[in-house]
Amino acid sequence: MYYIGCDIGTGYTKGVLLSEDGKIMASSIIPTNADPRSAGKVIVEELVEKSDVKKEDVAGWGSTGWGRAYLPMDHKDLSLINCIAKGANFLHPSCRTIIDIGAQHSMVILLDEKGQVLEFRQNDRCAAGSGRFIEVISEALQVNIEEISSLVLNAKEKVNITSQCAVFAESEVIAHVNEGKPVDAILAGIIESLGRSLVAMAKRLLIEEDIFVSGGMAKNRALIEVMQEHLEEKLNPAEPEPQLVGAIGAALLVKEKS
Amino acid sequence: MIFAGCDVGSLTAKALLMDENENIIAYEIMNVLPNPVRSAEEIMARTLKKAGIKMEDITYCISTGYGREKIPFANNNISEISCHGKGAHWVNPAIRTIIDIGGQDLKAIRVDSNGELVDFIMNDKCAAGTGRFLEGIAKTLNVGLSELGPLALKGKNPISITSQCTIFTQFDVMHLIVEGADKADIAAGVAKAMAQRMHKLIRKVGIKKEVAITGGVAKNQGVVKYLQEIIKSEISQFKEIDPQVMGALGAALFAKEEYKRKG
Repeated sequence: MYYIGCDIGTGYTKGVLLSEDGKIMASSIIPTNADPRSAGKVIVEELVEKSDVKKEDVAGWGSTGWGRAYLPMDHKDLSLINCIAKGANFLHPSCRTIIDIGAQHSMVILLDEKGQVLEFRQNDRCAAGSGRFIEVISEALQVNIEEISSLVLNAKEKVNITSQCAVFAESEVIAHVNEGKPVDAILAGIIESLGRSLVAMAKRLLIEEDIFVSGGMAKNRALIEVMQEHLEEKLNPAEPEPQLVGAIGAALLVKEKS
Repeated sequence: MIFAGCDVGSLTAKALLMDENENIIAYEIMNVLPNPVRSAEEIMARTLKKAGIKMEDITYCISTGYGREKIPFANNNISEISCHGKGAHWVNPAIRTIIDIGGQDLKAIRVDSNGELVDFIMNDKCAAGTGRFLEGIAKTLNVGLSELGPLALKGKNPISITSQCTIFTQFDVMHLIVEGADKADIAAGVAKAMAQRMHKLIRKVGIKKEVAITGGVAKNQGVVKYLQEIIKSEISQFKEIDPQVMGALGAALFAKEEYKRKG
């Protein structure tokens, strides 16, 4: 039997197909494009096609994230925090702290030795520490999100970004471009600002090692380095695909419940 | 004699020309260009063209707004807070509180019977409650910024919006659209949330009658309607002059005063 976990986020929809023995048979990531219904439909089709597993052989469907209710299957709605915790514990059993950087919300989750959630915190008031912050800036600078990390790591200077608000930071970035500041130096300032916001949030909890990082921005080496510097702790970005942690957790949870 | 006020904001540039008898000759509004100096030059050129006069005809010019210190043709610059107070008082001397909502800030300004500044409060840390907020929502709703106000007035059942952050509200709106909520009810909910957010800030300076609203967001009748309900007071709206040029008007009035004072 097989299990499918989907994480329908505000930015991307992620899905994994898991075998009975907990092996990831297929995974897929597609943009949600403000349409969770069709994103849910497409992700299921892609998983089935990639794995060659028939829909009839899928014994359980788990759905989480912003648009979880719209997965067009008879599914279980799961809390994103529990899914991320489950996925993190599966991929990195020694982790006690998870820093998840999502498009809308970023969160810090503390786990016990068994992987149970002890405490969590998320930026639910302001987008300053979220992935959307970087998206807004990369759109303004017309830089591909994947390129940001290497640009920042090679930057010779760092522009000081004073706005915390993502909307105002965008204007600030445009002003810096107009003044002729190099794009990599501006991005270095933005990554510094995002890293500080995330570290400030993490420091409000009593975080313990190992620290695991999930969500799309975990792939950004420059951000990981900024956070390591301010936290003075080593961070472990999810491997191989940090965006899939929630979907993996959803598949595992639904497997347990089936 | 011609007196000029030039207001370069974060999103729009405004200029206004008046004669020595304080008759408004012309004014213009445009979206800013990437560089504040170029924005100032362009908006002034457009206003001069409308008035049919040349830059050399300007007797004295005051600049204001976010880019005010960089304007090469201005004789002096004055903060937009003073200019908004001055402009609004000139239009209606009974005004004591001015709520000014620009592209990137929200201000409440209290003036005395002479139009002099008494107190003010400002939010420029967060886009919630500013023009940028409405701009973001209009984009998510896929309507023009100017359509947002009329749409909000059509909404009979404003949907409660709990997020303050512009970006989070955009996600909320996105979700409401997916759920099939009525766009007019969403726009009404957004206008109400914005009015509530504004009220939280402006009540700190004390709302003394009469109250006026200026700046670009003053054009959103939905926001004005809900703000009137919350503060339980009529809000004066400038019909004869665009509320967005209040800062440029105040700057032109200061230009005249300063010129006369200097002799």
